[in-house]
Amino acid sequence: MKTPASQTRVRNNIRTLRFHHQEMTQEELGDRVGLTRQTIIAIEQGRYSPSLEAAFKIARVFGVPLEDVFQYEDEHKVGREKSNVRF
Amino acid sequence: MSDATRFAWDAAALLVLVAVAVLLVARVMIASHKGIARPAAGRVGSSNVAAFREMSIVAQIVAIVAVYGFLGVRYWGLRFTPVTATGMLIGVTTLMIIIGIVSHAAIRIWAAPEKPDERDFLVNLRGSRNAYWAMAAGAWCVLLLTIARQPLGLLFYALMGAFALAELVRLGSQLFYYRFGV
Repeated sequence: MKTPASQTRVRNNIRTLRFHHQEMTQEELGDRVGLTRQTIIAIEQGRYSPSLEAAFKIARVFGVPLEDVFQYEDEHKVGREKSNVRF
Repeated sequence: MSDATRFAWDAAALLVLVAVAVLLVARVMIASHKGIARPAAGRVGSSNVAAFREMSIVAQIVAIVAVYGFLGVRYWGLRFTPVTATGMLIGVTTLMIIIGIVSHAAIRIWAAPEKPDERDFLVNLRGSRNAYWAMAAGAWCVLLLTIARQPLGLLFYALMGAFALAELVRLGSQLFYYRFGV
């Protein structure tokens, strides 16, 4: 699957993690990691890849490893997954 | 009617037009942002409106198009002397500052400005990089016009046009990056 130019290939579970952490708002998360709410929205929607430092801060807020928050979408892996689909 | 009086009337009309345009655009942007700002999971944030920076960019684009476009067409062919060119430059700059203050005060009613973060810096840098090419092209045009010994009025228009074009490229790029991703 080809990723649109404006979309990053970094996937994240921030929305789910926020929900499991007392339904934390985007604004609360942004305040805790030093980002604006608009940036948190952009990260959740895959329109912006945060810096490594910001990514670590986000993971630390949720108390989970970085890989549990962010995943890098491998183009070949995605292709294989699609080809393995059985109808 | 003297040139100064004519300019003052035009400036007043422009102020009203830009104010109305900014208000309309702000309303549309707020309406279009309501779906994005509301998280699918988790409580809704304290403010549920479009970003201050995006509305600020749109206000600046509207102001540049209105001021430079309108005045450029209206005063095309005016016989430029160093005095009229200087007066025009000061007048346009003052008008842009007034429009900027008024429009940002109006935007502040709906959206609070946020402290810039890493994404804002990146968007600003990329916007400025794109604007550089427009400014460089404009500078080349002005240089060629100077070599061709063109009149002062044309040089003035070309230089102002290059500035306006570079600003539009910068602001347009920033709006694009904010809306569709960096």
